[in-house]
Amino acid sequence: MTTYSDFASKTRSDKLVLCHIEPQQRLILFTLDTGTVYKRATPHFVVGVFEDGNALTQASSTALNQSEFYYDINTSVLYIRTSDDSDPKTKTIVVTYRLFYANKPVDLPWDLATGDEVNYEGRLKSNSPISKELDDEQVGMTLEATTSVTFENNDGHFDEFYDILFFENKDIKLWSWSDTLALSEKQKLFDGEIQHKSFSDTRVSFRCKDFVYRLRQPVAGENFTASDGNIPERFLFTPKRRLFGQFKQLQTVPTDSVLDGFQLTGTVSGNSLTAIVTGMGTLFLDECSPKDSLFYKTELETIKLYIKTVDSDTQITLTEDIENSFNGITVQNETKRPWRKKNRTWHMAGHKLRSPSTTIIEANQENRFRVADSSDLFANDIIKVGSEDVFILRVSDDEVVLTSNLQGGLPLVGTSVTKSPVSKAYINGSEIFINRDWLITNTATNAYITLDDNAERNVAPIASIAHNLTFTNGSRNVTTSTVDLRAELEPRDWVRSDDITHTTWYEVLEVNENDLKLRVVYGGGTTTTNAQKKNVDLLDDTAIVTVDCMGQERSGNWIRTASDAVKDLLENDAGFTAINSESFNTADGETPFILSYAIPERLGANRPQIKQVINKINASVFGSLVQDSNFDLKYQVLSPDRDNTITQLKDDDLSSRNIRISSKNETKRKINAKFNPFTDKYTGDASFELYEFTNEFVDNYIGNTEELDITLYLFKEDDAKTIAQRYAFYNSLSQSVITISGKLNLALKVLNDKIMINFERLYKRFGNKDKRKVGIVNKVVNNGTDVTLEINDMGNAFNRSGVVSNDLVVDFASSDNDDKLFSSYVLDTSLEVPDINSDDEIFSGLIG
Amino acid sequence: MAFTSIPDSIIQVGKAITRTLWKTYVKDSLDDLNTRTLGLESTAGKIFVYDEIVKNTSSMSSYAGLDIWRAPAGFSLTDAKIYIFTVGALTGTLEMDIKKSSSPDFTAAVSVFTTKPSIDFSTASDYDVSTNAVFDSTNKIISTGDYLKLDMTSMPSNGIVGQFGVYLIGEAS
Repeated sequence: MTTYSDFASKTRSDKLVLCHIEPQQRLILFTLDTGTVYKRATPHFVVGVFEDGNALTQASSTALNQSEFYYDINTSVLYIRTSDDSDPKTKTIVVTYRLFYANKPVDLPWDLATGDEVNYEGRLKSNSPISKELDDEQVGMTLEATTSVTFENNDGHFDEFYDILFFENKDIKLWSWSDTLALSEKQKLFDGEIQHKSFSDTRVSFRCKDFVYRLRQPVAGENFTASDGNIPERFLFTPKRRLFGQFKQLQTVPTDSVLDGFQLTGTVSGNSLTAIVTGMGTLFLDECSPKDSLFYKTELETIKLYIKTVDSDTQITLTEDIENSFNGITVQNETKRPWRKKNRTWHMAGHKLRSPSTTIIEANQENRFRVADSSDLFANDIIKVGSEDVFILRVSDDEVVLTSNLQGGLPLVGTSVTKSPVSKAYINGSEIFINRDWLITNTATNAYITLDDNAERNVAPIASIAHNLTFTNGSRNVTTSTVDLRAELEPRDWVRSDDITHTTWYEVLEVNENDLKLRVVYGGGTTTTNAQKKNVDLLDDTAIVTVDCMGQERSGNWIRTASDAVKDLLENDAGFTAINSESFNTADGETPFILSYAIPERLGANRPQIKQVINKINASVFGSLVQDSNFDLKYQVLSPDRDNTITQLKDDDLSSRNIRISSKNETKRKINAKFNPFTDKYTGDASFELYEFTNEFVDNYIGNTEELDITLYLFKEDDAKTIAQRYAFYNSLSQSVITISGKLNLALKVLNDKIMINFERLYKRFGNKDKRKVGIVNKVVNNGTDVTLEINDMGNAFNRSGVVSNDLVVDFASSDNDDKLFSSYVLDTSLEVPDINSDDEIFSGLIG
Repeated sequence: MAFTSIPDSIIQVGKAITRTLWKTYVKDSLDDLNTRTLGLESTAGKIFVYDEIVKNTSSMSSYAGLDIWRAPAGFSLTDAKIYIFTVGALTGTLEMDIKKSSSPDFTAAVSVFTTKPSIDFSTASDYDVSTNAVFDSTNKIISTGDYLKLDMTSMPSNGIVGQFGVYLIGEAS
């Protein structure tokens, strides 16, 4: 017998359960061994040492470097050398022990591999059945598995350290093995942490959970604080956004808001019983307007000064005399209309946004070239080619076509191509343009869009003032006698003459009935012409600034797909290291759909649990997070592929003929799929795009009128359609859950494994009339000797959906039942069957 | 990789939907078609609105309506340039604008540029070509029957620019 599978299939065999428990203890006193190495005897086997929370490296002898330790298994002496060679008592030293137990005494390596042998004490009495189960069939994540492990304590073994060592939240592992097997064939039963413990004079028990519980903690990230700038109260101390995938009209957060008011440049003075404010180093003409109110605070009150006119950069006339003189003070301005130089910086995310770079490998024309890597380049992206920002019209393999020619001419091979993480931006609904109106700051910790001071003016429509106005060279005054200018303009609007040779716009300072004042003197020739105006929609603290942007880039990789996002959350938020990376790569390839998921979904909301986020992402792609046989986290996306290598379960694999089948009707006639979340660029309301799919199969044959509302955090409509139609397919027939009990070899099955069921007494399957069917494992219960599986036939989805068949598969007429189970065939256009002389296969071979 | 027609024999009712069907007859043929399409569109389909030399004897500081062009088909503008031959003693700026209108009435016309192509004679050299044009992403899309008007919004001063080139092209989207 060489494999665990062979062993497990035996009904009677010598099954061993091995256990590692790793409690911790703080140690203070060590004695100097030699040089800077300290030592002490320990009561238990040491596998780890932490100095002030940092792990020391395990060495192979007592010749230690800084930050190393060595445990002598023969003498039970621990040697350590601290990071700065100081006495360990000056540090917080915590050691991790490993306690070795089994259900009968056995000598085995301490690491269950090649290490020195230690005695596994035969104190393990029992462990309760361990259940692995998906919390939402095939869409979700594995439920937390628990077990209770009991040890014999008749001789008072645990009395010495039950309360001395820290057991809480410490690691515990269980394996199933037999001494007839190589140790490498051991099968992990459980990998988790101790939650609770109980003691009696005969027994000690530990209640344990696997690591899935860590997913209950909130998603990691920073909050907005005052150090980020002037943040409106509604966003202060709320999470900065974290973005997975790609976004349309993502709302941003202002970080240079006005709040109560902004401080004027320079200082001001004013004498009582006068209405004149004098400035020193001030820029009144730029920063102030009539009807603005200045204010400053004394110990007792806030003094307000209302502006009547702005006379120069250093003089303001107030509407009322000053009551109490002030001299050389700073003042705040609460403007009547927003100042165009505030609310310029808007925060998009608390991390770097994806901004890939590549190089040109061949240039064909001024708007056509090939690049080394086009994988993250898409139509409508803005890319910087050399120093020039241009839009992509389309990407065909590695050839990029621009919407317009490069002004610098044909690019050279080797020219850099860098994608802007933002492709479009809007202020209160109006589109603004890169370079002219906005720039990006994209660092490892924050991504901002910074607006130009003239952005609002640039997007404001031009309107005519069909009356003669006189513009005078060198003067700020513009006069007219034919129109009431108050009906045309307000302070901070813009105006220019119709002089084609002087097309400069001027910002309006003051408007009266027949004249207005500019903020700077008119630079053109004196002229009396009609004029043009721009009535601007200036941004205030409540403005809506949205961007079309990329999501997070971490370590040079785009967090793009469901697989990427879930892995990122597991590694960086939950701190998991036991991850089956290959499964994530496979899922990435099978479902390369671009996510559109922001955390939090609404600005100002609380940070959600990791588990909540993963569940929403999984529901968007039919993904599931489970543990493999090694208790590593594994990611899978439901796909119709199957072949004849999948496990076949027959009657003789069962320990009991008691096969239970329960079916549930969750059929839906219509799927209402919300996808691509975005913010209304005018109102700021959160919204989704909507795709509706009516399932004619249910309408025609089932008659159910229920509809299913789903939310898909996907960026592209085509991807959302695919998933919505899969939901419709999944919910088109009742699903049957088949429960079977078997030998320990069933323990080798893990959640989401595809299994072909071939039992004597099973009803024939829909779409073929053969008894064999393919299902998927959605629950495994294992107590170390017996295993129960629940297998979901997914409403015969596997048998009904089309797959690409093996090239060796023959025509349908000549195929055997195995081929028919694992292959798809060309259907007759009208009859929708592969054999026009038989209707047994109707509804098979559909696209899944 | 070549284009291969799908034989009727392999898509008869009851035939297995094999990898060969997808790989050889669908993927390879599509790849071949795409390669040839890219080759075609990179060499054909350019629409030349202006590729002209303007001879000038005028000392006007601007010239609105130098020419009007009607679009025979829909397309997108892809490049605009002006260029000069000699700088001489000229100063000021040579700048052109293209206004788009759905009729010959340009009262409500819009510029196709957010930055108009221009050459500043104070820094220019002989035979300079403008490199600053930026199209308006909306207005650059030309529909069948649209009219484009060429305006010289600024002409150099301190003399007459005897000739200069105007270049405006597009492609079908």
